[in-house]
Amino acid sequence: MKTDAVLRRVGGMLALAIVAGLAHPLIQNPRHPGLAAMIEAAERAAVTHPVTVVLLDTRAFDTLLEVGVLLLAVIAALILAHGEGREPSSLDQGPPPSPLLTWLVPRLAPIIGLVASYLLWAGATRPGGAFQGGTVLAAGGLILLLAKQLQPPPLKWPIRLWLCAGLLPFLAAGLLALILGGNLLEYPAGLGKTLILVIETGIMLSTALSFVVLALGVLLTLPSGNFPGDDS
Amino acid sequence: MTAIIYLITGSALFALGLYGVFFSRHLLRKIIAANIGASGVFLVLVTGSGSPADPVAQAMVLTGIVISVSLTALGLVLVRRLFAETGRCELPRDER
Repeated sequence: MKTDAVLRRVGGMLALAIVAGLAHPLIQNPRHPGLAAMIEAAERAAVTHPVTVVLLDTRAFDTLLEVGVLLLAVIAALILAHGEGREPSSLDQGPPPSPLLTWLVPRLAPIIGLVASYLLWAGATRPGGAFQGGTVLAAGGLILLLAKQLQPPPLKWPIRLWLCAGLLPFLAAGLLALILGGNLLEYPAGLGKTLILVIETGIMLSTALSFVVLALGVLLTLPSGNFPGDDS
Repeated sequence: MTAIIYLITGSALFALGLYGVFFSRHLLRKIIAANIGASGVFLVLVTGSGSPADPVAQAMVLTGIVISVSLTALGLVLVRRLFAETGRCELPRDER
């Protein structure tokens, strides 16, 4: 126990030293001009918001990997939350939702869809984009689930494909550029806006479902029958 | 000069998170600490790149937020599974 306390003190000191070490150069150094010039050069006529340009054009590879990480996390969470020999739990447990919720939540759903679509569309020219829209959609889905206005569907093929709706079109667009003779994810001239919109829609839909599934994985023990080999 | 306040706050959050990740026993605390540390990194990234923030930094923070949400969820699922299997929310101590 004694060594523990000493270790904690030393750790605290080290952490403080790290604050000083991190903050000092950040405050002292003049700021790097950044990549703004390069991004301005890359801006397409249709997609003008610099953050969207970075996310889906100049550094699209990062975003591709991010979508991949999200999908991997969902798969891992599903495997871990899978009720192997344990009682599956469901959202049906607990008291029924209040009448206010059952009235309000279904009426909120279309507005949530509208806001998400607006965020997606606005991403081309001003703050907004696929992940923001996806987060709003996910919140809407979770409200619907928690108010028991929607049952979580079994994780059959349609849902699995939906989870991949971000990664697959993104990969396809990247490979299309390769086939047409460019580099990976170097959109062919003239197709940029269309491809970015398709990719963003896919990312929004898959992000929304991924967040919902992650939340359900945290909250619930999922029933058997969701994985190949469970059925028999 | 507000940037300096943000930079110091961000660094302090990172250090707090670092300390929490290493010295908390309960795994939930570790996850929360990792999130606090990540918030510090995001704060430094956004405010450290000037005003208005560099678009690359903004995009990296956006990417980072999504990744940290996925990692938090994965961590929580792991903790739940560990609790279901062992009835504990702590990792066993190292043998000395």
